[in-house]
Amino acid sequence: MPFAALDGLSPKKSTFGLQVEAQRLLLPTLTKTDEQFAEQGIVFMEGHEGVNLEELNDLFEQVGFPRRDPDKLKLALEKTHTVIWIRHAKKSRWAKLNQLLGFGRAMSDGSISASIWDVAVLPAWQRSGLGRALLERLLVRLRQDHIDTISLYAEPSVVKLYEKLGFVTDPQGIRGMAFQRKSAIGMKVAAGEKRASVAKG
Amino acid sequence: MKADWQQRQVSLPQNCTHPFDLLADGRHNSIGKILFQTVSPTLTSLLSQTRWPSACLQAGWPHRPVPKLQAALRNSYLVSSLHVRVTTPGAKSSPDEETLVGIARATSDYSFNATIWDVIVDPEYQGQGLGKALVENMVRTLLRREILNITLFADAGVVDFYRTLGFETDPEGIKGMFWYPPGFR
Repeated sequence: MPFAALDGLSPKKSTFGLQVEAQRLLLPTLTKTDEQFAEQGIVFMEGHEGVNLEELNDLFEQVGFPRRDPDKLKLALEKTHTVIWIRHAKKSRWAKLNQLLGFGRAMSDGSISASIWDVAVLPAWQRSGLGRALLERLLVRLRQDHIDTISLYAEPSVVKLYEKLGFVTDPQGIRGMAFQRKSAIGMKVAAGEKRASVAKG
Repeated sequence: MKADWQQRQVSLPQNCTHPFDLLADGRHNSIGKILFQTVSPTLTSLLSQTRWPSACLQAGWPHRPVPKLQAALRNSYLVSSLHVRVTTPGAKSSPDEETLVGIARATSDYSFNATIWDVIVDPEYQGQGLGKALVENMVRTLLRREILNITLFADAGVVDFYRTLGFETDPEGIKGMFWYPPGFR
């Protein structure tokens, strides 16, 4: 199902209704509309159903992300709140028809908190506004569900890109943290697992 | 609809309801028994009480509408709550005598990533290692289910707390960021 036109709002609403709703929800504006992209043969798709997992892993590999176990990847996408991907809708020498050009997803409880993961655009298609467009559409989707806390973890090289989109680093001193397995807990769990497997013989 | 982890090796206690994990630990202290529990129907009403403000490690908690809170808890991958049940010798303890003293929740994609949100311990019960126990149990459960990328956002004042629990800030220089609407940045 192609991403809805009219900045993600229902096509049935009047222009005035659109403006009011956009203001109320503080929706991010789209730098370039779906129609403008469609003219170039680029279509934004929402939902995991049409995603080819092999192609997705290829995309991940090309941007330096690890390839994922397909079963786990399939489950992850099913359990993700919003998945947006970019389809190349025409034949050209730059990409195959229906090729996956970009991807991004947002994990959320659908109400209060969300975090954005796995944002990737094929290297040949980077720096043409696709990443920005992807993020804008993810943000619109999340704001439509009234989700207030939208977070992500950015590699140093893309921090500025996200700042331009309205993301703030370490606001009020809040720090992003990740669990490192090589710690006491990680080792205790690993040791426990070892004991359990030995006990089963 | 069974989650993938329910179909695999994890064995759950009998009265555990999907998708929440019943953590079997119980600890005795001089006040009463501290229980880890699944989310109960009374939980969300307790959570909307205004006595939470000073306890909140994440701003904005007490001002959330209850339906929003309920939806968030329902759709969280894991929710752990701590209750105090005070038992007096000779008297029957009823569920109404349980007081919520701590909570933590995590969202996840069931496969790779989890983010821990809203770790809160009632001020009266802080300093006893309850927050630590909440987070440790969460992490242990997630790792057991092979969800290995466990993340969170820590207020400045609790960064050290999470460091002692095995969390690192900005691993490999990766920065945590939040979106703000125009005019709010």
